[in-house]
Amino acid sequence: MRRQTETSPLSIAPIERDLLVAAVGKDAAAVDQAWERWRAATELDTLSAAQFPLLPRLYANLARFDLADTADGRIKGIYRRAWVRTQQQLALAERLILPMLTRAGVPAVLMGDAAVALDLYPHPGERAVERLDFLIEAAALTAASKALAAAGWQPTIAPAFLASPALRRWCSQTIWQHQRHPAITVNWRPLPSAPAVGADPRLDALTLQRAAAPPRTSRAAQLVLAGVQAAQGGTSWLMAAADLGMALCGAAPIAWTEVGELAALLQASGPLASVLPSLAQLFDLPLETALVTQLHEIGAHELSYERFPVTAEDGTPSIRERASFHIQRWRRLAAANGVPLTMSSSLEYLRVASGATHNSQLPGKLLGAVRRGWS
Amino acid sequence: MSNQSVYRINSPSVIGEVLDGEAIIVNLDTGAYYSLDGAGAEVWAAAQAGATLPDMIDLATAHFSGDPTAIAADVTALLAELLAENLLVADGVSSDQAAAPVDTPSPARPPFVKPILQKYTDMADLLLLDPIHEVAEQGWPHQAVRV
Repeated sequence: MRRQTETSPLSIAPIERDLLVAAVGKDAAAVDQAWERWRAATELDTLSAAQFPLLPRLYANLARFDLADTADGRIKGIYRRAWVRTQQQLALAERLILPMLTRAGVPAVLMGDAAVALDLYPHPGERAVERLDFLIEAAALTAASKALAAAGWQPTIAPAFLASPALRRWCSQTIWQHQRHPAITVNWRPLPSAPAVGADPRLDALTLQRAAAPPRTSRAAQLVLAGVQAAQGGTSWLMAAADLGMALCGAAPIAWTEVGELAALLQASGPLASVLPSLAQLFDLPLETALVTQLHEIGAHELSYERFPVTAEDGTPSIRERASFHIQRWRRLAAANGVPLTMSSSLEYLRVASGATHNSQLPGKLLGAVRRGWS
Repeated sequence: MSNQSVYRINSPSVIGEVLDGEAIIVNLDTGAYYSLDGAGAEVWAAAQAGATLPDMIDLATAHFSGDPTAIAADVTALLAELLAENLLVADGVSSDQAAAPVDTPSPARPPFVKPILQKYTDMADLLLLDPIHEVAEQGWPHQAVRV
């Protein structure tokens, strides 16, 4: 699995570069060549988890350049299923969940996959929407929780936390499952460890498109969040890079001033600065040097954006790495929320992060490692 | 199914898209999705554009070679199936102004192949938008009562 730091440029393997160009590129010759190289080097049966989500977009781009008949029939099948899945997910959001939250007095917008699919891609079916993310105000969490529970959704965390201020302080989202519908995620921060910038009046203006139908995060927010996701690594990084590529290659102008301002607010300038030049180069697009320089300069003064480091072959993080991650996250959230760095607040954080209701339920080794790290 | 009837997609329950000569259609109420290619995709697109049954038959005859009687029968059967699956609904009658234009027959027409509406239900469980059965007297939605 790829690892990435904020300051290094995005490292893209040749096969991933070819897939990105074939799926996102606008130049017919470049798309054709990249597609030929990619399919010659790829076995669909063993396709990596990072590459798989790009197949719907790949098929659509091949069709656009009259190359679809050279593709394995399964790629068209994957496009078809992604199209259906996305339509279903968007309908679930628009017809059921958003109206339900509105009736409960909870202003909510779509974020994540669905927002990106609607704004950065020509047709929603080209961007698989695997899960639905909603962004609400932290103060509305209780009302949202009641509405979701009444409709049959069950939180994956202990219900006792839902009413707890600790949840809003130390956590950024809850996942809800339903017997008949796909699981959804309710977020009250645009980034998991973003500072508590909710009081900043610029955040709403830069983050939300409430007038759009369905209401969703702004294009600026989609770019910033995709930049963070691409820089962080994990199995979603290539999809996030494709999202950014679609924005860069798209006909709609990008409001770079808004993007830069929001990235600074969310302390995500560093990750964005690391990915934009690589993608602009990949798609042979101009990118203002001044913008990247400014992002780098701001990023140098940001807290390093937290990642959950993964080193083991099977993707399991070590206790030491988990402890390091949680220490960094606790400190950052405490500073953002004005919470003193005490043993009490650290234990409260750890309980929320672990889903434990009592200290006795905390993973012993992790607790020990975290305590040693804090001392 | 009148010759003068025009049709529309049964929205918002049904959404369709034609890509690369294939129509993909999903019924969000049932979760089933459908595929149509060749003449079937053209008939779907024509129905979306407000064509009557005779318009659809003329379109298929203009774009594909084959026995006109057989083409007319197959297009009629397909339209009936689209209506039976609630993918299309009748939407009034045609006026002269609304009639779809009929293409001049192409000299090199591909042979007409009877259109088959492929139906898939493998993703039906992903979403079952069922507002009728989720509505309670107090307002909806409510959690379904399980036996």
